[in-house]
Amino acid sequence: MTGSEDIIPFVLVLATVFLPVLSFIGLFIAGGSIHENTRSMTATGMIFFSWMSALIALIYCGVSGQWDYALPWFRYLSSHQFVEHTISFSINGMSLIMLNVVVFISFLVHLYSYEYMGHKKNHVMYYPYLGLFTFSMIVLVLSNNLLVTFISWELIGFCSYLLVGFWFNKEAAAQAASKAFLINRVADVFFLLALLLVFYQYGSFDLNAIHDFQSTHYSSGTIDFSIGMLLFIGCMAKTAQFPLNSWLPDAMEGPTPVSALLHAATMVAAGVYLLVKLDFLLTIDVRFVMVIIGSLTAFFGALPALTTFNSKKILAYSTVSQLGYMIAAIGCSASSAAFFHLFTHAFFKAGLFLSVGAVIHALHNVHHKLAYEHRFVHMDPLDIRIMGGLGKKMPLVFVAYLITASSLMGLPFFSGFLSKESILNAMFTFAEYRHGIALIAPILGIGTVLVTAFYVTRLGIWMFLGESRLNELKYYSEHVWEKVKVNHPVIIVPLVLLSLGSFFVLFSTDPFHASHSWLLSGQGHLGRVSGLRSGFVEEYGLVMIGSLTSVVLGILLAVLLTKKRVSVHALESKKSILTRFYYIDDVIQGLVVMPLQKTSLAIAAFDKKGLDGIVHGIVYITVIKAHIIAWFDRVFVDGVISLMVYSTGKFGKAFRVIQRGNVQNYLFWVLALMLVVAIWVLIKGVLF
Amino acid sequence: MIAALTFWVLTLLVFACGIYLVFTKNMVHAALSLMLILLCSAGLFLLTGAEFIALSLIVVYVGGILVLLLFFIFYLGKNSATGEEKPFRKQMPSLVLMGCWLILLCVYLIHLFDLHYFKLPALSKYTQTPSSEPNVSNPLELGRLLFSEYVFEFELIGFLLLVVLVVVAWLSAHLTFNKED
Amino acid sequence: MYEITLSHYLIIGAFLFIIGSLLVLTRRNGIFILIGLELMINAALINFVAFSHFDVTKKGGEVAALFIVVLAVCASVVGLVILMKVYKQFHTIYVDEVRQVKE
Repeated sequence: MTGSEDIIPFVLVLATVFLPVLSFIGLFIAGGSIHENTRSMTATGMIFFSWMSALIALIYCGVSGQWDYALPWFRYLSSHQFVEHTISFSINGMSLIMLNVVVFISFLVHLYSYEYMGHKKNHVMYYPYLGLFTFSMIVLVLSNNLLVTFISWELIGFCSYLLVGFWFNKEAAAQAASKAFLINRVADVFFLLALLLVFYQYGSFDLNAIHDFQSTHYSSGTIDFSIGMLLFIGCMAKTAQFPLNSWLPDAMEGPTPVSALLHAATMVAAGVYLLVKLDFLLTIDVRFVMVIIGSLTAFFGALPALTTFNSKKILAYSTVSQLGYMIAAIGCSASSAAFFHLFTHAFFKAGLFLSVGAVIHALHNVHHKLAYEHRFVHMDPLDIRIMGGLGKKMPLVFVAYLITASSLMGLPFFSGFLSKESILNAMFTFAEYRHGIALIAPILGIGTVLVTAFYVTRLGIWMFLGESRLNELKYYSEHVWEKVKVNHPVIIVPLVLLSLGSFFVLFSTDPFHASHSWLLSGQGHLGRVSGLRSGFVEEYGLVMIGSLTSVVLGILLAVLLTKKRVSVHALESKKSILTRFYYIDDVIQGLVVMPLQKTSLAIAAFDKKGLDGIVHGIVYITVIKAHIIAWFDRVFVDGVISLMVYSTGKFGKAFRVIQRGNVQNYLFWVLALMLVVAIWVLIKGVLF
Repeated sequence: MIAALTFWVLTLLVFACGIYLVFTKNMVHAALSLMLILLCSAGLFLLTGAEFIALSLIVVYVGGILVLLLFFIFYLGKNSATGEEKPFRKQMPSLVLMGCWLILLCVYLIHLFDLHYFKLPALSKYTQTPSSEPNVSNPLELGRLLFSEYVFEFELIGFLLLVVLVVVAWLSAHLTFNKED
Repeated sequence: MYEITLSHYLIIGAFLFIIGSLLVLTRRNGIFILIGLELMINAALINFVAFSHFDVTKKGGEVAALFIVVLAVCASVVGLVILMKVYKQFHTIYVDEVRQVKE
């Protein structure tokens, strides 16, 4: 049912969409002239109102039902028919939920940034960029037209470039931003190809039209496979699937709130969201590929988190791994499970990032304090080797971390448990129906659970438990910590809210079963997608037991294996395969970058020597030609004139003797010639 | 008969004076030779019956111009007559040329002998000029013609005379004739 | 003797013309040149009058002769004045000694 005549959702959605834009434009233009606290409060306020209208829209519309709105965009004439393109957006359960997630977390990030990005760490463009990003994400979520989706897709990529490279003076940050943008760009080419094929096949970019077309026509074959494959590849960069995932760990160079927003909750989820929405375009073979790649990414993406010492990078690898889960879920035809996990992941990953960010912020303040007292010590706030024992110092943060981490691990009573169980169930079902290589999917899935538990516990132990390794730093003493402010409300409130969101309560009354969740009940657009197969309930318990076992095993291993007493100066192995993230970057460097550079150098050399040589040659030839022409001109042309002058002179000299200025002479000649004439006349007269 | 004789005498005089003119170095002789030539040609005019012309020739030409010429020659005096003429060799081309011309003209003109016959009136008996109106004298006839037939040319000539008068007056404005100059 | 024809008069005129042009061509003395000029004009005069004898009604030749007389007078007067002026300037009447126009 399309309630296109209902104006209220339209108005609410408009408010949701345009408040971030207003924030962007307003702060872009006038941001420099107002105080930074005012800036952040203005931006936060606008995003708050945007969230409010999104929330009201959700409550008003509910998760069932669908409202489609279309604004005319452009049209052109093609084979005697007008082809209309519209900016159409669709409000249904899925988009409303996603909208709320996006705007809510954006709001929390804005709030958090008030404190985190204070102390002159942000310049004018921080909040405008955040506003622009939020806007483009909202457009992506709501859009029903693939062209508009593509535009917002690109815009998101661009905003991530701006935000990751926010501290562009740092070499590493600038490079990371470029890397992120370029890898996304490469994938966008495939996405564009997919769009073109869609248009070729279905004649429209509008999703409703495509859906209707597909349901009424039997479609299979290479084009559909290509569409699905290209779409998947196009989403591969955003969802950090292997091999286009090396940008995500590097993107941690950006500010932590940005990481929380982009690389936990929204941007990386954009790909998943899109694939869920376009689920009906994916064929069986494409899904199979997705499962394989997704599960591989899930497992192998998590492994580097076991060895790295950069706290944010651990979380980045975690994101890669969880995204792998989501993709695999879509591949197993369980798109609703993937969407569910997307939702829960947004909450607990953002919470994790923000709590880690609180720790980083505190350490940063310590660093500043020491520097202020002229005690310069080299320390990296992200390095977990200098942390430790912070659980006593930052209890609230510790609790938030515990809650969100448990949700990530998939412990019962938490939301992550529900969503992960759904996914694991789907994977087992998939393996059940397609034997053979498909079996690795659930195996890898369970393995990932173990690894996840391991690294999360490791991080928690290193950060919050044990002795404070800060004491091992030069110049450090406890009184420094006391001077450092760590419990600012704007930092705590988001943490609290996100932790609350990580509990099961929000989603289902049953802590162990997600099948009755309100989330899954109304998936207007996903009507065709099968969620949980009811014929699988018998093995349901097996999966749960299996995953719980791995979680506990992982925790135990972490507790046992993580050295509690490790010095600050513990070395990180530089050459390990995990540290180099499976050498993906090196492969890309070797396969793609180096040949390109060599080719451009060769072309430059050719241009320099070859083309310039040709130009020089032409110049030489022209100069020689000019010389020849000059010689010719001098000898012949001037020669002719000289000849004429000479002959005229000689002629004149010869005849000058006639005129001596003597009039009598003239008269003589006159008479002489007249005589000649007279004789001639006479002779003529006589003869005739 | 007498007319023919007169004619021949005059002709001979003209020829003689002309030849003398060519060879003389004396300016006064030259002027006087010119005067004689003019007088003879006046006579020739009379023979053809152009009385007015003859008389005007004598009065205007001889009595005016020649006198003026003589005045100038006398003014110049002896000193100016010391220059020598061109050597004969330099004069040769002109002489040759003129000789050729003479021959040419004579040949051609003699050829015309048979064409027109001149009827010369006698001196006294044939004073009747051949004219359309008998008993009208030559001056009268000419006068009538001047003011009827050729009045435009007459006026023109008058104008020319005026111009020449002014020009000469202007040219000779600062001419003084002192012996010391 | 034979009759006097037109040709006689014309020959006289031709002769006088030749003499006159000879004088003009070969004489250094300015006076002689003027005399030669007079002679040439006189020769033309003779020709005109000779021909007018045969024009009974209009007597164009005689009228023309009258005009020629006037013209000759003008020419000689002007020539004489110029000669006088040249004499004043260069103290010579010989035309080949007059080379430069001095101030």
